[in-house]
Amino acid sequence: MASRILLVDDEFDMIDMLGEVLRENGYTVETAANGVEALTALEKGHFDLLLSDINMPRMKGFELLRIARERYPDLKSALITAYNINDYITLAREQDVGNIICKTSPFNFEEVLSMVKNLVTEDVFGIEKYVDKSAEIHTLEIRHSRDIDTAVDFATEFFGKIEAAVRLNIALREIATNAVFYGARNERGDRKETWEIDVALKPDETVRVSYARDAEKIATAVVDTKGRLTKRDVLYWLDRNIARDLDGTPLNIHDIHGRGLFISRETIDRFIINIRRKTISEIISVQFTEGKYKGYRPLLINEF
Amino acid sequence: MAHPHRKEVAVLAKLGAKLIEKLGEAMSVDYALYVVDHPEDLSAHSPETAIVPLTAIEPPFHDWLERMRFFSGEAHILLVGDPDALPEGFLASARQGQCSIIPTAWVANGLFLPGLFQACQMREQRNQIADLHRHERSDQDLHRELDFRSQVLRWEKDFTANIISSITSGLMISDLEGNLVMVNDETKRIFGIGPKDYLAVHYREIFEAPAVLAMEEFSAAALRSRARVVSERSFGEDLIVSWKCYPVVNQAGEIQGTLHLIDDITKQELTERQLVQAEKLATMGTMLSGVAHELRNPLAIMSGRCQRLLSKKDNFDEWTVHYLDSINEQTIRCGAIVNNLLSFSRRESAGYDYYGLGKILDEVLTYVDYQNFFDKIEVRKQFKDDPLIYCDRLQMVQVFLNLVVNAGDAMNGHGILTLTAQARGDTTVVGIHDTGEGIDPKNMKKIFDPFFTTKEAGKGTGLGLPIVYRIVQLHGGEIHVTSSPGNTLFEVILPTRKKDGLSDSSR
Repeated sequence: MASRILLVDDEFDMIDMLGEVLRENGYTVETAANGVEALTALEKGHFDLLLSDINMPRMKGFELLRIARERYPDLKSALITAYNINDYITLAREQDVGNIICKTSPFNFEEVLSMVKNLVTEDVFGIEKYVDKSAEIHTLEIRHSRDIDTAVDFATEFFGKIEAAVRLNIALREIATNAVFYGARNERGDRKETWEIDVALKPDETVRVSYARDAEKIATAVVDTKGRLTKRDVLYWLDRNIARDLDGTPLNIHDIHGRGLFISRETIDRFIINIRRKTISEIISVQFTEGKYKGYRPLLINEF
Repeated sequence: MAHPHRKEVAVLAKLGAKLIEKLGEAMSVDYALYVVDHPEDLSAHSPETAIVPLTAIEPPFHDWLERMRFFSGEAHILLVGDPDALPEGFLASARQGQCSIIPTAWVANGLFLPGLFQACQMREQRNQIADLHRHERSDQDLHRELDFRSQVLRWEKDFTANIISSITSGLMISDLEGNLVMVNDETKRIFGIGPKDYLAVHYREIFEAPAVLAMEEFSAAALRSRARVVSERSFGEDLIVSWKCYPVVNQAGEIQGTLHLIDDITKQELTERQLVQAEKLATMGTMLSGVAHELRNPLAIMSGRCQRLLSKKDNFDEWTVHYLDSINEQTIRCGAIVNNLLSFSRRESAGYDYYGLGKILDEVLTYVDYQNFFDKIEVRKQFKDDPLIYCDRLQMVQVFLNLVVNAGDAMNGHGILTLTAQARGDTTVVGIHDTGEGIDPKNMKKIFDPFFTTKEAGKGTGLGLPIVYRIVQLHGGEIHVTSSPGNTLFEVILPTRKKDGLSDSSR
């Protein structure tokens, strides 16, 4: 049976267009122009996914999601917005919303479809889901802390000399290092002087790095099998790095925890975090080689 | 022939004895030497005044002055009836011999005492050492008594002198003709003229043309309106002054000359201009942000619709597809402009920390390394030390990337890009130098204005440099530009340490 999606936006043209695309891809779609209409629709029928705009009159997207989740705990939900996602990071943290995508120009239909599919099927892990079927994919294993350099060097070779690769590699080093020391070995950030930085990883601490390349984009995935990362932590760190207090000072001005993650997210076009609690932590970075979708970056965090 | 200065001379003669007494007490003047063309007019004069007829003055003047000195003891101040009537070359010689000349006309117009004061100041400064020697030679007791009295009087004189020389404004007094009665040290510093004695010299002979012009204008205005004239004036790029000109009026209400108070406000002006610029950018940013946000929904819809149409282009004829392509392209272009506007007004910061400048510049270079138009550009790195800066890394990368890309554009693919970095006190100075066509002088003031661009339509948003400017400001730094064809340098000065207040309000 086709999955049922409820699309909510006060911009009629937007849901008309999105609705059409989703239907073409096999989903059943109903629409609502505001939060009240949406709640009525949810009452009348069963839905698998609620996709709503944030900035609507009378009831904002966050509020709609909060009420809907309370009433329908199995309902999956996500937000879409034309505005700066970072402006909503505090709300995202408070309401535990991990999926917010942007309305860009050019419009990124592929991202909408990808996110919808992931949410509905809950089948999110694996770099191959985020690139074309024809993409070339390689995987390396990090079994020793020295292998981090090897992993980054391979990326340089594999992706070649393009600007998109520079950004991807900078983030890769940061993410791989985090995966080895925080993820796999569970080191503490405030005790860096006690770390063994030249260390072999135990078999269950192995970190896997995948590389993918298709016509439009390049991507890396870093996976550790300890699953220590949590959606709550990620939202917390992003919030602290992005949000400001009344004076305009970032909340984290004096501590640097999570800054690496934040900077990586700012550098990468599409940054995806997939978590299976206590089992897998996967961070996927996707970069468009031609810089096609410049503008605000989506928030994509899935936790199971 | 008339005796134009007879009246003044008569006054002087009367004052003569009293004057010498006072001068003697306060300023160690032993004799007053009058040079007049008709000495017989000076019937009553004190033994301390020496009268010399004009006719007695003959070249070589240096010798003459030496004789006078010998005769009068320490006559370093010449009260002259009519300086113009003196033999040619005498004035020059006198000044060379370090005599101060005071026209007696100043007695009538009330400028006499200031002028005399100035002259004695100059003399005093020159004679410090001579004084010391003189005291040694005197009789012990007399010496002690004189010493005591002159010390007290010297203190009084010094007090006034110190006030005048330490006021931080430049002070100038000129008579109606333009001859200077007094010029303090600050004036000399501001206009870069020597520490000489400019007594009774016309300002035309001391200052350069722009200052002369200013002097003329302000004096004329003050005299005409009989009131204070306040103005600001720039002398080139490096000097901006605030100039207050007052008519000097005696108790009878007659104007005697002009007084000028000049303040060097260059630093304040430049700081204020930077603040105004920053204000401008911030206001624009807020305005633009609102508009840009509103455009996002419509643009996303337009793009989306076009893309959907184009995904079914097989259904359309070539002409229709061509039009759709065009609409799509233009819509995406609008989207890019909106993104630029929003990134301009965004106040994002990853937080401040200490970062190595070398690493930041290396990162910037890797980005441009892969860009085609940098292929034929030679890049030279001259990083002295590896300075650390306290900054937001993301923003700094943006700053230098902008500057480096601009440099590349200016060189049109051919030339030398030189990056320098060195520590200077508690700042780090980064230089980005290119050998490109340079910035037109008339554009220099506008390059940091939003939307100002010399690139053709669609190629530049004109927001690169304003963003750079704002980020540098937020870091408590400065940015300076100098440019001539083939030689353009952007210098970014950044604090190496956390500046007070910086971490409290990163706006």
